[in-house]
Amino acid sequence: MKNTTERTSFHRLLFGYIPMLFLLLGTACVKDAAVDGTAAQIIGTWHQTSKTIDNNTSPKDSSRLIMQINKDNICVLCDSSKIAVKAKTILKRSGWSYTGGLFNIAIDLPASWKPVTDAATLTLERVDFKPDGTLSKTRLTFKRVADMEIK
Amino acid sequence: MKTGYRFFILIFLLVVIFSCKKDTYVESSVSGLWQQVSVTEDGTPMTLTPEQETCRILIEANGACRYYNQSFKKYNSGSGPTVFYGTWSMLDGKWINFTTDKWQFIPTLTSDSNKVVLTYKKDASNKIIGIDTLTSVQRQWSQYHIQSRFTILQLTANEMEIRLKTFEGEKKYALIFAPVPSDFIELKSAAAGKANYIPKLVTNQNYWTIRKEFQTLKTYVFKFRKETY
Repeated sequence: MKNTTERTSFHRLLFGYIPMLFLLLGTACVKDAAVDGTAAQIIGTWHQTSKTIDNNTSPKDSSRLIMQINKDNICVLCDSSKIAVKAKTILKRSGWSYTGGLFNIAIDLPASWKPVTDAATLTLERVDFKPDGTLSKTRLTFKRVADMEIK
Repeated sequence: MKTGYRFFILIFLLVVIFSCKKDTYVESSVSGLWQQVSVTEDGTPMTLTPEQETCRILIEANGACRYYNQSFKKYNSGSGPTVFYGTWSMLDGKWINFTTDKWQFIPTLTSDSNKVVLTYKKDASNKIIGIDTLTSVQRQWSQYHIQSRFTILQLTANEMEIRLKTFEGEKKYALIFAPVPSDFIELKSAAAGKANYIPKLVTNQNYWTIRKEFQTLKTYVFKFRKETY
C-alpha cells in the first residue's frame, strides 16, 4: 500500500511538477530581449545641421546633408560633394542596421555610429583612429524634416 | 525504491543547476579600446619592435573591430596604412574569434632542381639584370582574410589576455595583431585602394626556413590593457 502511494506521488511529481520546473527554468534562462526604441526613432528624413570633430566645429559632412532612413533597412544619402556632383552620383543608397546599440550604415563600415535621438533631433557619433593611433570623435547633428520621396 | 527516487531528483536538480550556469565571459566586456602590452611565444616574451608596440584594437559592439599599428607606416613616403579592419565574435563565453588578413605561402619550385621560381627583370637585349621582386612576391603569396579562434585566459574591466595556438608562419605573415616590419616589403606597384604591403621575397636561401615556419605549431599569448576614450 505504502509503495503504491509512493509511486503515485512520484508520478505526480514526474508528470506534474517537473514539466512546470522545466518551463520556469527555461524562461528564466532566456535572456530578456533588449527593449530599445532607437531603431524606430531613427527612421525618417534628417537634415544635417552641424558637425564637430573632437568638440571643435567643422564644415558639414557634404556626403550626407540630407539622410533618409527607411523602414526597409535601406537609407538614401544626398551627397553634394564636388566629386559626387561631377559624377552625377548625388544619391547614394546603402543598407543600414541597428545592432549592439550602434547604427551601421553599410557604406561607412567598419565604422559605425552611436545614435542619440528624440522626435526632432538625431546625433550620430563615431570614433576613428588618427595616424598617430589616438582616436578622434566625429559628431553629426541632424534635424528631422518632413518625409520626402527621394528617387 | 525511495532512495532511487531521491537519487533521481538529486541528479535532475544538479543537471538543471549546471545547465543554467552563467558563461565565464560576456560579450559586452570585450567592447572598447585595447592597447597591446605583451606577446609571448611558447611562454617566452617576444621582443616587440617600436612599430608593434603601437598596436591597438578598437572593438565595437556591432561585431566590427579596427586594428591600429605602425608596421607599414614608413611605406608610401611615410604615409603608409596604419588602420586595418576585421570582425570579432565570442563563442560560448570562452573563446573570441578575430578575422584578420593573412598570406598563404604559394611559391613554386622548378621540377628539375627544386629551386624557387622567380621572375627576372631583363634589358632590351633580353639579358637578365636582376630579380623582379614585386612581380615575384605577388606570385609567392596570396592574401586572404580568415578567422582565428583565441582562448580567453583573462577578461576584466582593465585587462584582456588571449591565447592562440597556430603555426608560426600563420602568425608571422598575418596581421595578428601587428607584424614585424622586416617580414614584409612595400608593394609599390599596388593600385590605389589596394594593399601596398606583402610578405618578403622567397628565395632559395629562405624557402625552407619559411616552409618550416608554416609547419611549426606554437602558442601565443597576447595581453591587452583597456584604455578610455
